[in-house]
Amino acid sequence: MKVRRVEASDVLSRDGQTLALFDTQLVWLSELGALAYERADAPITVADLADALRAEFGEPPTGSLADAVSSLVDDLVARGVLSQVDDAAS
Amino acid sequence: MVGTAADVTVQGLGRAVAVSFAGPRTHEVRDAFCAAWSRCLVPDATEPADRVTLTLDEEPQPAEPAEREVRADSLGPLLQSATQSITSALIRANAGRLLMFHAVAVSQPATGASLVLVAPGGTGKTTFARTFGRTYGYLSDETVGIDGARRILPYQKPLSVRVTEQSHKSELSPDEVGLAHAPADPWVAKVVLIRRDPTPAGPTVESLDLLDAIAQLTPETSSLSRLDRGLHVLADVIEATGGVQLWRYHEATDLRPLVEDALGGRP
Repeated sequence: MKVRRVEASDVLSRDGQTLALFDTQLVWLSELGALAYERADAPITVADLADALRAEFGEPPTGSLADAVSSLVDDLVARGVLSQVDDAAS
Repeated sequence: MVGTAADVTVQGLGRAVAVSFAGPRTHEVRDAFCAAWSRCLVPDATEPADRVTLTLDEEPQPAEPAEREVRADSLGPLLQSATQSITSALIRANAGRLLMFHAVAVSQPATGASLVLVAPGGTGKTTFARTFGRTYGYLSDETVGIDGARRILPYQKPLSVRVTEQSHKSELSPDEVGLAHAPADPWVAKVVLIRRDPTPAGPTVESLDLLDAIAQLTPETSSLSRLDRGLHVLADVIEATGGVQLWRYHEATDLRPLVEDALGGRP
């Protein structure tokens, strides 16, 4: 599966936290979420996103990286920050 | 008097709206409108950003009003709807141009230093304007527009006041209520979120960190996403004015010491 970010009208970061404004919706992003948003400026596989997050933050303290990234992606898709991309269309 | 009353032009947030009158009793409607909007009337030559038509519809038509047409079957509700329609038109005209809050603002006459109190509708903005707008200059009781240089573009609209035993609100001119005029160049000195507490308690003050302030202010902005780098513009205003505070209060008069402190004393 590939994902791509939904373009925010503006993104503001301070002290490891990020706010992204989508139309009238304001979304808080963690450092992980903010990096996922940054790297998904073009369609990216969840596996490549996991590699990018590992390179920046290392392995999660508990559980598998794949599970953590899958959960993060699901959350960001649900909040309208990322959208799933049809592989054929990407 | 016969014939249709002439158009008028009102200004707020730095933009103008032309208002036309249709239907019966147009002169009476125009007179009442001009009395309520006394602070916003400008010469008709001012180029309007939008147009609104007010129609006193004593025999209501089945058809929906046309776009930008305000209809009501009596004068009071017509004027109330007109205020809402004109405010909407001015907000549309300023999308992408001004940072706009649902807020009341008053200003220190000598310096133009202004206090912007941000709050949702129905939570005390008009009451605050009536309480403090006699001492400090009245800028708006509903929508505050701020430009890139932190100047406030006044919108001295009528105050929409709930009158007992009346289903609609009355539109009262700031002149009728005795509010002070806006100074020539008002600017944002402080932005505050206000929350009215239904139980009597002294006012409390809480300082919000930047992102928390933005998160709480954003729902009370208009067209923020249309403003270039809107979150950064909002952050710049917050940081330049020393951060946002949350004031909880019961009665508007309880806020007097906080207001005086924010605006550098009484005029």
